[in-house]
Amino acid sequence: MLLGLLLLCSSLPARSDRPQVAPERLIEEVRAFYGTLPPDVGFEAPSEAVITALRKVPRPLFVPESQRDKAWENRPLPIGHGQTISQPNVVALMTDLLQIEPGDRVLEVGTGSGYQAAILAEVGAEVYSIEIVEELARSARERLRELGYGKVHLRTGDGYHGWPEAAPFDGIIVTAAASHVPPPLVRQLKPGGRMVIPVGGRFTLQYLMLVEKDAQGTVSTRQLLPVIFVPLTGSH
Amino acid sequence: MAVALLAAASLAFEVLLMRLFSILQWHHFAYMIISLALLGYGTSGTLMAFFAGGLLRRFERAWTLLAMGFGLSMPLVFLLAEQLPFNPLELLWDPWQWLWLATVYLLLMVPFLLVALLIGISFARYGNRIGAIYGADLLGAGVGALAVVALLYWLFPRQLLPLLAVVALGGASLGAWAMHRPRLALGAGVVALLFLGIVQQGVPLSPNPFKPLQQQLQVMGTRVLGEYSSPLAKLTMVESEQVPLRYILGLSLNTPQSPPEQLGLFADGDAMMAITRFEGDPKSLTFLAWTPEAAAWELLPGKPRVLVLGAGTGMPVLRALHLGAGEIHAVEVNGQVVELMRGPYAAYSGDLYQSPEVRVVTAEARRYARTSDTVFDLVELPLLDAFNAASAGLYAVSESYVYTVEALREYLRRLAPGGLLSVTRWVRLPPRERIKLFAMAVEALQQEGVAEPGRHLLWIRGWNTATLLVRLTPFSSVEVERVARFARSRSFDLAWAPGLSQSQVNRYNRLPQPWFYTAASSILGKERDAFFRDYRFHVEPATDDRPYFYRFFRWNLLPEMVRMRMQGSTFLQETGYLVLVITLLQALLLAGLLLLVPLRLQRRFRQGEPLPGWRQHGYFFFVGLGFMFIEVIAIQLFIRYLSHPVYAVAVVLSAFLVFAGLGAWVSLKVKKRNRRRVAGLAVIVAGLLVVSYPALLHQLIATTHGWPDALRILASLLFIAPLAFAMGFPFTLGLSEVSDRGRLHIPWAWAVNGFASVLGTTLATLAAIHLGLQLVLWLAAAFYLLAWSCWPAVSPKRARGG
Repeated sequence: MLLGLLLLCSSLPARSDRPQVAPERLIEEVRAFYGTLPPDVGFEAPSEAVITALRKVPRPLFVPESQRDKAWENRPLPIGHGQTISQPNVVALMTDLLQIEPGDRVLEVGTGSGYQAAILAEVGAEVYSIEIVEELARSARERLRELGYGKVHLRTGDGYHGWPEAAPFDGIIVTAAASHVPPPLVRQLKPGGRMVIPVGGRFTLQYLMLVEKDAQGTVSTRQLLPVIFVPLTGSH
Repeated sequence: MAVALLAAASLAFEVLLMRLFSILQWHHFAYMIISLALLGYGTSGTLMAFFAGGLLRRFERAWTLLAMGFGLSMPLVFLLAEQLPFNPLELLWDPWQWLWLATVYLLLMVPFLLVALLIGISFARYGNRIGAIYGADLLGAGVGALAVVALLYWLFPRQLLPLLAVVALGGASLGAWAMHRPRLALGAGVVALLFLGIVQQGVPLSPNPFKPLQQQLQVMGTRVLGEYSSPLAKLTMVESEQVPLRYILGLSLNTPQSPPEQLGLFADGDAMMAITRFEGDPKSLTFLAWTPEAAAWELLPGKPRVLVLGAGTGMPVLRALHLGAGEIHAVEVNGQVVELMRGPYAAYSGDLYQSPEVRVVTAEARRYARTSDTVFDLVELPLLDAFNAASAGLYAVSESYVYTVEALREYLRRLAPGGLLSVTRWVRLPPRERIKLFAMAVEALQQEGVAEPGRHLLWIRGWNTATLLVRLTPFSSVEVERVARFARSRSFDLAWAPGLSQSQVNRYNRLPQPWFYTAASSILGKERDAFFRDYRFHVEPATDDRPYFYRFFRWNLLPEMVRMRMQGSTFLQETGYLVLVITLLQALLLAGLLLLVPLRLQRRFRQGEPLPGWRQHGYFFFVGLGFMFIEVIAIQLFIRYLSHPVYAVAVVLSAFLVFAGLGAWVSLKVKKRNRRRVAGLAVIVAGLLVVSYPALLHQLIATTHGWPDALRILASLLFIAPLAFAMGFPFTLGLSEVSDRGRLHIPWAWAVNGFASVLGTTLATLAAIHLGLQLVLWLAAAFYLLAWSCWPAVSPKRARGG
């Protein structure tokens, strides 16, 4: 029985009729997610620019062949090397939180598959992205070039020090939370700029940390929950 | 001898599987392993009912093949299970993962089934030597559980797996030789030698790629400097040359200086501890004053005496030294970590653990706090479970005796007048564990006679960690201001301080609402009970009787969890508890399918065969439930005494096997007419012992707390002996009673008992979470009484074969 199951799983055919644009169901799920966000996040609906980007960037081409059938679902997926491609609704929200204007410089620490970089490029950012896993960096570079995102600047190396030559940045995305926010990244954020860091596991999101630098250069953080939390039930 | 070797391998495999799962996946699966082993044993009973005849006809061959199958299957099923694409992190997303989990469960059950079948047919074949076989089986099993723990000091789990195969195949060979089957003996011996050849290299392990160590190894320029094995954890020291490690939790965004590079020490491939490079320049350590833990130093006298409970690789020790401590007692539970810091990595850490101010002690945190005769100006509990959750949290809902109200009181009593207790934990959102800790501190202060606990607490919150300062004397307004200034300069918030108003909180790391402050106000106010009742998570204080600091799940969260499952939010991440419930349901389903259904079906093939009645089922069900309840709770109780779950599991399993086995063996000599009376006596003795266990254990801890590990393990074995001895009687007495009533009575007794054992493993923990350990022991005693009231007496109707 076990062997049968194994064979069944390995022989499931890859669907050849995969759509190359995001199905409407995914877009609706992302919209529905925004509908459940707490007011302090500041978004009731995704921006049109982000929706257009989600539709346009072919997520199936950013995941391994074995995962392609699930790539248009609103879920994170493993991409090898112990890394994941984030859930589309989280990618959308992180992009919106950066409040990108066309031509803004955005630094991404953790390229992964390159999906987030492609979305950022689609909404008009000039993207600088750093990846510490060499193989991921190599495949992301090829993929982005093939898909026409050749203008995304990619570097393989330590993201801790940011990208001083291209600094300051209007926005920074750190795709996986570290134990602390690297001081060089704080320094490379423009006054008025925003940094977004998702905190949680590889397949889940606990909260989004938003670091804001005001015009005077003072830094503050906000912890944004992706769900409304009412602490007390009952008669309170 | 052969049986003893095979039994030893089987128990050693059970303990080893727990370690392997902790290394390859996470520690959530310990109960699953106990229950799948029991299911394997139980299923063998069902198979016996069907195939005993055939197996007994070719006994020698069947015996040897089963023994060889058992030996080969241990590494084989493990390697097969590793090939499955099982990833517990995707359980939420991918329904296939549930199937993989069940498949892993069934695969790993196979060796237990084979060895139990082998012992079963040995009993059937050598009815006249049942006592000797039973004795060898239980003694072997008991020794196996303990031996594997000791061996883990010398060998890695990947090497132990083929070694267990060697032991089992050696047993097979010996057995075949004794039965005058030289060819089979030779075959088994040759295969054993082949396995011996791969012990040195070990079998390949594939840890979950999402574990922190595996992720770190992907980073360019990362290399492993060394691997070290012990029963507590597999340690891996890692260096990353091109992308240096920098692991400083809670570091302020305003920190003026980047920290120096570090080495990473991973325990079971999970949580990392960092060794900071120190070359003598104190300026390179300035960053240490920029974490919430440093707040305590605003209030300490010059050259304070500091106790660090959970020193790990020394970050809190380094901080204390850098900030001017006069004397530091650094307590670390894992002696291997201490050896590494004193030996190969001493120079890298600037001889931190050999500094004249530092006294390093290998001990469990709480035991040291209780037994030390020194008083301290600061007792610090750093983020202990960065290490301990990986190595000590064997259970889905982990017990922790470090974070209980009683533990906090013991730490407070270690303080010199005006001394501070500092506890640092993660900020998890929505808030739960910090709030529980605050509630526990309030409770501990009140129990120490403090009238207004709110004046004795200071709470400093960064974006990912928060530190709670507790003192037996109240904080003055000058002191509060000093800490407030510290917090402001680092953009930390005060979540609670005497005299703090709501307008002063939630300024730097802004949460949607000042949740921590409002929770603290409620806990300190009159509405505490209502707050506990109505808060979305379970945040009532953890105590020694309910040592589940990490349990936050409440059933009213479930609808929300289901509704939001596809949003990926860890809002509802309290899955530890749910995994336990799901393990229970899965075990019940599989146990039902494998144990009860086949026997039910068998009736069709054996028309006219007398079947046992409900009294027999009740008897063996309650005996099984009572036994497992006591064994599981004993493991939880002994974690407190033996300081580590692996020791507790090995010692408790081993003691129960050996002494219950002894009881069972003695019970075989009881005359038929006395069986019921002796069973009653055993039930009463076991019941009385069980309900007084926590009190007796408390006494044992108080008397022997200073003893070394080996002596405490011996004391534990002797302490468990009388109880386990008494518990050995009811099952075998019952079996003897029903053995001559029909061919199906024994298989049914075995199956029902197995079913109850599988159920009991998980149910006992769930019950303890809700009722407390003491009450669960009362329940266990009640199950034994219920069992006795169901004593399978022969009614005239049954005797006629109905």
